[in-house]
Amino acid sequence: MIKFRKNIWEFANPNNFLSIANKIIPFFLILTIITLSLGLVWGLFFTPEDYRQGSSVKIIFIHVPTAFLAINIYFMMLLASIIWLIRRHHVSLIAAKSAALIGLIMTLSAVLTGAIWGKPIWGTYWAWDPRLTSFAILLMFYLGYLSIWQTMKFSDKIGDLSSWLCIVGSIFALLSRYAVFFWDQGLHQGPSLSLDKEENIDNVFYFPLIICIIGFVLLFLTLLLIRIKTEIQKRKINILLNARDG
Amino acid sequence: MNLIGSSLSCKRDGKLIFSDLSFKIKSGDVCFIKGPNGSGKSTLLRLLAGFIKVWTGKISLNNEDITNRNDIIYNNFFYIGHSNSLKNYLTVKQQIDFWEGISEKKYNFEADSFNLKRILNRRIYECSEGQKRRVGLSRLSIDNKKVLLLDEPTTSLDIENVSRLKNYLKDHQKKGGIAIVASHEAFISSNNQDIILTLNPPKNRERDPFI
Amino acid sequence: MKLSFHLLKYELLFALANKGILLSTSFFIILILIVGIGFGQIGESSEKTLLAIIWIAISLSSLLSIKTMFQEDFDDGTLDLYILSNTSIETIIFIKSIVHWITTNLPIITLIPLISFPLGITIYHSILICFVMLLSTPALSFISTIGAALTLGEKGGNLLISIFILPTFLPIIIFGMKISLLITNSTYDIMAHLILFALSLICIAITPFITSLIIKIHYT
Repeated sequence: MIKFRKNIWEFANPNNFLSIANKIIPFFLILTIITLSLGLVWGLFFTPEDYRQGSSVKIIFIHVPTAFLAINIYFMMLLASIIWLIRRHHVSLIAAKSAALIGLIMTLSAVLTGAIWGKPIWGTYWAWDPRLTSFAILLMFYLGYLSIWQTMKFSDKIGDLSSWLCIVGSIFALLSRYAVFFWDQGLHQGPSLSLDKEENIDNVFYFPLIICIIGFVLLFLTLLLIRIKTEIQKRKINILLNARDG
Repeated sequence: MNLIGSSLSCKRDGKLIFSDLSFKIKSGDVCFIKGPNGSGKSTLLRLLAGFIKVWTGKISLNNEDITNRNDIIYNNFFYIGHSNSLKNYLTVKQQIDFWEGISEKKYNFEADSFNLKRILNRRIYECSEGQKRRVGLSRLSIDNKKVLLLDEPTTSLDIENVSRLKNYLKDHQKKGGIAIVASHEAFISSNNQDIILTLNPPKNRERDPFI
Repeated sequence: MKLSFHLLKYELLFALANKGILLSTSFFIILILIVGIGFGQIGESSEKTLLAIIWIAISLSSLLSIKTMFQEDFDDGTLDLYILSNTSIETIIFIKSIVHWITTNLPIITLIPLISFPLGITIYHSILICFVMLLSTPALSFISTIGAALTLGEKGGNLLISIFILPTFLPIIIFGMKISLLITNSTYDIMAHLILFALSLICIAITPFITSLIIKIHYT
């Protein structure tokens, strides 16, 4: 069974991490499948249709979790990058790198599901209101972070550079968000294309939504663990190959 | 004045370059760093110059610990590397003027230790490799710091100019300064005050965290 | 202080020797003209669409020449000299950014009244837009130094720099474009100008420190 380690920093050793990951990935995988299927099936098939929006509102069971994750994965990347800069734990760096692609896909999914939702309800796939613009901005910063990993081979230096890019990106992403919001308030309250979660406080939707969110978070964690494990194993193979080839 | 290094080791891009290096250098010494290619001669000089952080070990100057103390290092150490820090489109005189401005000291035109009088108005891109190296080395005359760190200073220099450099270093020795030179040959003749520092690859390569 | 002027003088000399002014201005003019011609063929051009093009063109023109800022110095050893000298590297980055602004953005800004005439933006509006650009473009030059520092040593980094630096231009571009739009609607919002200026100053203040940390990474 899983032993509780005294100190979370023990995960920083890649080999420790591998042994733990090997044990818990199946567990996470099963949990993800259970929660996601429960949440999605309940939400999509067993909830009544909304009196205003018909069944197209049910896309929120995918839209809201992916949007939630898109933002939070960026924060997680920021945290992991800062941990790398301060404590030089390679696992943290690899976690940030691995999470980036997942975050990008989540953002794309959020935007796509939002567009699919928007068309029947508000008649348009996209608009430049603050919420959606913020997602477009987030998408760009993900692309920027991913692109810097393409410049050179994995090394401590590229880790440092990408971590600083993440930090700079966060600062400017926040500034952009406030810049966009600044221009929206007080000008005209146009139809906002995104609903706050509070609007769906209707119990019937609330519980499956929460379960879906938890399911997606578990999905993220499972994918992240698998990706980190793969990356660590890739590093090991590269090092051994380099040592063999001299 | 003494410069003491104890059990120094240095990492470059996560890899250990040398470990457990110790030396003791006094005023008036010229120390030559020898070792096979890639053993870390340039790295050691850059470490002493303050570019790279010390991984383990200590450096002390005059019994004062200066490990990673870049402010003290900048005041006492003078580094000239492989590249000459020259801008191609300036004339030699403009280049020297530029360096004077940065270090806020004046170049000693009378002494002219590197014989630049005749090429003062030549553009750098018109100079030969040897002339460029001489201009690069002439930076030594601008800032008289106590410890000189020279990385392969004799590249491209002919015999006459190598002896000019030798004379300059001998003067520096007489004034009580220290010079640490990475070079293939100990060019300050058979002076038994020369110290030879040999770098070998580290015996125990640090285990990569991924293995 | 004297050292800063000395450095400024020489950095200007270096930048001018690279003939960067001509290149970035030409690029700007070509971009604007192509868009103008394109819109001319389509037969539809509104003052507002072309405003966006001016902002994009000036961002791109200043960004595409940023690679040489540190790369040359890194290659010939002058950056080593800067790091080891008495002046802090932040001062040097500050001066280099100012020089970059003077040699890249400033010439373009002076051209804007001329170029906006064929695009259909009235001269009066374009001069006001120039003023907005004067407030915002220094920050763009400063932010792009972060990009130059991140790709130091990489070959062919220009496209890459654009990918992660253009998003960071966004706060300034958002404000700049909004203000330009208001100007073409003959609304003059002083508050917005001040906020843009404040934003610009914040960017200018923090970027040298971040850039110096990133440059030091290349030296480990």
